[in-house]
Amino acid sequence: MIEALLISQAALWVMLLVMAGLQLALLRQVGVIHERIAPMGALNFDKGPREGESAPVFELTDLRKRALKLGGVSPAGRSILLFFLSPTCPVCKKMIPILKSIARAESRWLDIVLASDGEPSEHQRFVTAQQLDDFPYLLSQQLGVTYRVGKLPYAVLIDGQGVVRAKGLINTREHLESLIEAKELGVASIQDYLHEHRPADRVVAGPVINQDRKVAGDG
Amino acid sequence: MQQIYIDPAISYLLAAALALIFGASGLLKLRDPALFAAALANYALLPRWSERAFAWTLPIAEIGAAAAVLFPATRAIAASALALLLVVFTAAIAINLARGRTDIDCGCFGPALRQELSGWLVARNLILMILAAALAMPEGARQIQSLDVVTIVMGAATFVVLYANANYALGNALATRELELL
Repeated sequence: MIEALLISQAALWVMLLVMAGLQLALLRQVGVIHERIAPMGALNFDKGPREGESAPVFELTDLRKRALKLGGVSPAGRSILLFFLSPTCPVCKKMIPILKSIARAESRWLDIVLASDGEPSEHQRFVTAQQLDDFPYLLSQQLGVTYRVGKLPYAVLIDGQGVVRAKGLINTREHLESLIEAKELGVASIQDYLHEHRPADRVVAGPVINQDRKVAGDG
Repeated sequence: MQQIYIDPAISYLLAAALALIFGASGLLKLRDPALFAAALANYALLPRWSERAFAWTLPIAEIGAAAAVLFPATRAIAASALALLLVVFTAAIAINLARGRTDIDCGCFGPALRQELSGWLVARNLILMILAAALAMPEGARQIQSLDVVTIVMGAATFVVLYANANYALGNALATRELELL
């Protein structure tokens, strides 16, 4: 009797653990599906400008009321790194010192422009607290909509000819440097680079950041 | 009044599970202290100069308590420390929920998991608090047997996986609600 109970007990534990593991796999898959469909929605009327396409021209004024032109040929041939952020996103705050150091290191050819949307007073406090006065700071919902910014922080690299050279979700210094690297190598994104350097029959189905998604039922 | 005891096997099971959860939570936070400091800043409860210090001390306290809860000699005091940490974390979440700041990141598992604040996090922490409080109770005198080892190992493993599942399910539920709102 005791032996039968012991065996039954052991079998139950093993099966319970397997079941919990399967549940974990299932929930992760649901999460991945969410990631894939998340950026669709009311904000994404257009496809974002793709790498290699001209960046749409925006004439905006920043928080300090200075006029700024995004897109189009730059007279000085300077590139622009458009960095989308928000005062409440921890990764954005972590990226700020990195942005400052990249701004210094690449100052010969690159201007960094910060972009967000919302209440100006909140952003002004953020700029003061993080000492972002050196960067133009744009508040424009249209900008985020145009570039289909889903998750933050997100960056777009526009070259001196007004062409989008690279873009993507940024979580680390390496991500940011990969955009600059992508421009120098002349590839659109690290995904494209990997894709080109991979046999055609081995296409990996992983979460791809830069791909424009076809949005079902979007007209 | 009759004293309530906790069975030693259950005590070990809960201790192992809480040690894994808080050990992982602390280590993940230490992997990126700047990120955790920014998450703390979002809670808008601490003076700015202290955020960096707390970004180091809170995870170290978590890891310390997680390690100490494994040993019977230090279990009660470590469990009380975990309960205290949970009270502090949960109060911080509740205050920001009351302020309506639900869009900030919990920071609970450092860079590994992005979780918005919600009442579910408070409920989750309350359950962990009850378990930590149970660990602070005196242990019964029963001897640990070989079958208890199976219960402890399998039980703790199942507990941790189910805890991860609960966090994933919560994230999915919030994402689903966002889709419904569109």
